[in-house]
Amino acid sequence: MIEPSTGNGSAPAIIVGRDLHKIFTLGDQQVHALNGVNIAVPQGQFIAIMGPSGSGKSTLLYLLGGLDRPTMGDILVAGRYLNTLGSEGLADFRRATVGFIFQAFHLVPTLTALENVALPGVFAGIPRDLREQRAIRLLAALGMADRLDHRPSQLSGGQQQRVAVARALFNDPPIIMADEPTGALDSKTGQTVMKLLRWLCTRQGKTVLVVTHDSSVAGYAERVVNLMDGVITQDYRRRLKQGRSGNGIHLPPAEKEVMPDA
Amino acid sequence: MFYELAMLAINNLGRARARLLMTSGGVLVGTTAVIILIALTIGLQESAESGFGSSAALTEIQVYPNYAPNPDGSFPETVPELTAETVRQLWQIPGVAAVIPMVNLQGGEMLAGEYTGYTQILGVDPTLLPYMGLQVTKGQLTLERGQALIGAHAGDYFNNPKTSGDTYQPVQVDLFETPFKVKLYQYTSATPTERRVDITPAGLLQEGTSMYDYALIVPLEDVIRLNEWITGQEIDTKNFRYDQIVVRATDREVTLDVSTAIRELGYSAGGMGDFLNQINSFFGTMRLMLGGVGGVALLVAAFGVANTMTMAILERTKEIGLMKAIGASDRDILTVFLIEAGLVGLAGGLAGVGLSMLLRDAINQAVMNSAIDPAAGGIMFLPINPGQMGSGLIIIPPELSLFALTLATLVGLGAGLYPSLRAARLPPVIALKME
Ligand SMILES: Nc1ncnc2c1ncn2[C@@H]1O[C@H](COP(=O)(O)OP(=O)(O)OP(=O)(O)O)[C@@H](O)[C@H]1O
Ligand SMILES: [Mg+2]
Repeated sequence: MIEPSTGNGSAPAIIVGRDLHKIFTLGDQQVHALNGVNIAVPQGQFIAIMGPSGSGKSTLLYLLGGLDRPTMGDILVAGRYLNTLGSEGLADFRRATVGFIFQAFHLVPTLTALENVALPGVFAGIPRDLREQRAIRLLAALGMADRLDHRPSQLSGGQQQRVAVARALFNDPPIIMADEPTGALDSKTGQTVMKLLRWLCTRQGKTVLVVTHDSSVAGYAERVVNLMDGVITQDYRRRLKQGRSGNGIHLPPAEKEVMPDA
Repeated sequence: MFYELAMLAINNLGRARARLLMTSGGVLVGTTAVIILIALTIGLQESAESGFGSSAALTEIQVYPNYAPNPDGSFPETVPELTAETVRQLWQIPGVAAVIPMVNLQGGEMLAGEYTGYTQILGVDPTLLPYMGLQVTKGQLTLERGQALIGAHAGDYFNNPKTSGDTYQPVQVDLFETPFKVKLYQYTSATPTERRVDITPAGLLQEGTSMYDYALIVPLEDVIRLNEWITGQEIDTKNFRYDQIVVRATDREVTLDVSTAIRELGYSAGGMGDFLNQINSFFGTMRLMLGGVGGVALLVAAFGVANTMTMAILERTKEIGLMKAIGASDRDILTVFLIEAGLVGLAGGLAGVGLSMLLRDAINQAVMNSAIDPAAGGIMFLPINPGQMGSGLIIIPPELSLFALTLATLVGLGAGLYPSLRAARLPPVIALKME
């Protein structure tokens, strides 16, 4: 078996997918969404997964994030083989290891921004006041301090996505996975969200996987993987453009407050 | 953790208020039906029982040798008799408060002035008197040799043999105030010897202790001596046999158990308490049937809850996926939805208890009114006189409310279980992609 390329010689791989296959069965029809994908992502890398619609990008992301199981193949994330975990084990894994961001935000409509951000803390069994403190700090760091009690319907798309980012960061996971995070945003707001993710990678050492078919979004990644019909057709590293390294980005209000200290 | 999930569930309940109201409304109707129908049987039973004299009579069990044929129709060769050993056995039955062995006087024609009558004369050890549940309206509750305690109706069926002729005209004689004798015959010789025994009343028993209402209670010693004279034989103290034994249970609830235990020893047992237990079991059956009718209403409500939960879960599938993506376990999801379903049941149950109490007050008032003025109401089909009912036709004990609340909550939980399990087991990706 070929060891998958990490695209990065030095750092150890935090995500490894070996010979991943995913077959969906619709009635008597079989859809091969993934046809033997090998991928390894070193810790701290910002990787963009690109490809035409239906090429299997989301499917790959969900497999690596433990939201779905492969038909065949092994997945090793943060030292754990996901196929050895039961549904409780997978829940624990997702809670501790991965922060998800979705194109449609997926905020709970009846909860306020604050409560949405703090929701992962409910399932993690974190006490209420600690939960709220942490959520307030995250929202404040993302410039949402004056929107704590707003419900999703009272927020703009960009604001909603910032709430979703804050929620993904709540449990301080080492990995952020985003499926078309800018897909529902105008390009300017989309840039802001991408800068935020880039900053999390560069300054906080998060490993970031972003699925997109917008090449300007992929411009924030130092590595781009191209999928076509469920196989990787291209996998290349590149130098970041000026201003996209994350070093020059200044987030409101103060960077050091972004991460909870717990 | 549970509290947090419960808060999520409560938050969710606020989403579709109209649907929640209608679903809980179904549970409300079901709960009310269960409560009112069961409360009706309780009310009917209490008014039926109120006709059954004092509670003392209800704990009394009369024990006799069992002369009944075997189930196959043959007669038993030996019938266990009531001996001193029997008394000891009876004392050992749990729930027995007193064992009172008795001997009947073999004869009992009474003479009170010009009137005669027949009365059962029971010989009892005077030291047992305090345990017999007796009360006197006149005189004292004590017995000396030659004395008797007079049953409240012991003098009711006397007559004058000279004047009555063919037609029997019962005359009521006050045996407490009128001096009387007991006439006895000895049959050992060809011509019976007659003997008249004077008896002095010690006390007049209060009415209602039913088995003694038509009897005289005299010291056991007297009865034994008189029986010896009548039969011309000395009593064999070694093999002494009692005619009957009265067992008193500690309270009504255990009366049937005690009766059963006595029957298992091979004796016959009967009494008012036993009869009442039959009535109880009749009302128990009635309660089950009517409760079942209410239960059907609750079952219909359960389908409503199941439907509502299924709808809620369909609507919120994406949210379930999201919650799983951010770390909710299957059990977390199950808990949230089960709490929701349980709360729907509980809310309906609470409303049902409230409505039942309103209905109870209204119905009892209407029944009372119709008792005062029969023309006013149309409740004449009732088998009881509403005026005699103390607490009303509908009686809701706290246990019934509690039972109904629990039942309503369980119905909610039960109905929500399948949809909630389905929600909990939903793979997160499928849930997230659901439109
Ligand atoms: N639950 C499913 N059941 C059946 N087929 C599925 C399912 N999920 C995905 N597929 C199929 O798998 C293939 C890959 O889907 P996937 O969502 O990974 O594509 P994608 O690259 O993310 O596309 P897009 O850019 O449009 O989001 C598609 O052909 C899709 O129809
Ligand atoms: Mg996709």
